[in-house]
Amino acid sequence: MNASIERDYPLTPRWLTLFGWGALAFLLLSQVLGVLTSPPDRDMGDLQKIMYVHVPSAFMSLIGYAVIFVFGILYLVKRDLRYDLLAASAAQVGAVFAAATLVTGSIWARPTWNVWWTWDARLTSMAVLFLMYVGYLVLRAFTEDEIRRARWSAAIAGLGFINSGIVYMSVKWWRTIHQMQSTPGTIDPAYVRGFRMNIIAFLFVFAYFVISRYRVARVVRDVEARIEERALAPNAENVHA
Amino acid sequence: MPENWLYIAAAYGVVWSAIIGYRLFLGARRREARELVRKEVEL
Repeated sequence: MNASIERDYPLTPRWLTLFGWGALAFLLLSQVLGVLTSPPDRDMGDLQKIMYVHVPSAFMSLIGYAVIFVFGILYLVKRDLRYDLLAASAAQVGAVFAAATLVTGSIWARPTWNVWWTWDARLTSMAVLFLMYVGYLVLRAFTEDEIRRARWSAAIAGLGFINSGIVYMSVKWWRTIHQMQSTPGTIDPAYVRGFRMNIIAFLFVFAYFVISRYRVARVVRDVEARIEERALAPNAENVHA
Repeated sequence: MPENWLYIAAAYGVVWSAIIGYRLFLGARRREARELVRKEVEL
């Protein structure tokens, strides 16, 4: 890539690279601190340490659909495809965290509940959320027309956002085997610092991934648009001058 | 060694694998985008 293209298409600006490394370093620090400083839980023992990866992953998967929903609405209002690309970027990252939530939850469930999986309201609604992430991404992959894709994606975003609310509230609305939401207000004070740090660290990682993915998607879309434009007007050499 | 350390290690391993895996995926998409930009310049 020459200098002018790097200026036109800043895939990895310096601030983003620094932010990415900073987020990763902060995550590592938060996890080491969380694991080393938290005493064993009265009921769960050392398994409580899984909370520092499971709960932040779950938060990110819920936040993911909120982000998709907000950008979906912004797209519908402003008809700017950049919002649609931002929503799609958040969907990919959210799907990764939703998968991590299900797997770490299952690993936690085995020694505490003696099962890998049960059709509990929280677990089931979370599995549905993961499938909605997958559905969102599959729909986008199979829809050629970008306007139609953006509109349909925004519609699915609404459904996913409603479901993320159901996931959050499921432990209150139904009698479930899953414990209440883990928040700084509901967990033992000994775990609050590590918990907060990990939530913030996961948020940074999430933001870094979404911004990075968006930049790639935007570059690809812009270049493809240019190529198409050039193909339609082969003699207009100074179109982009 | 904490009790149930294998479960704890597995959970942390899953999350770090997901993060590192997505970072690698992102790197591959960036390389593809750069290649696309290079081709567009050549056209």
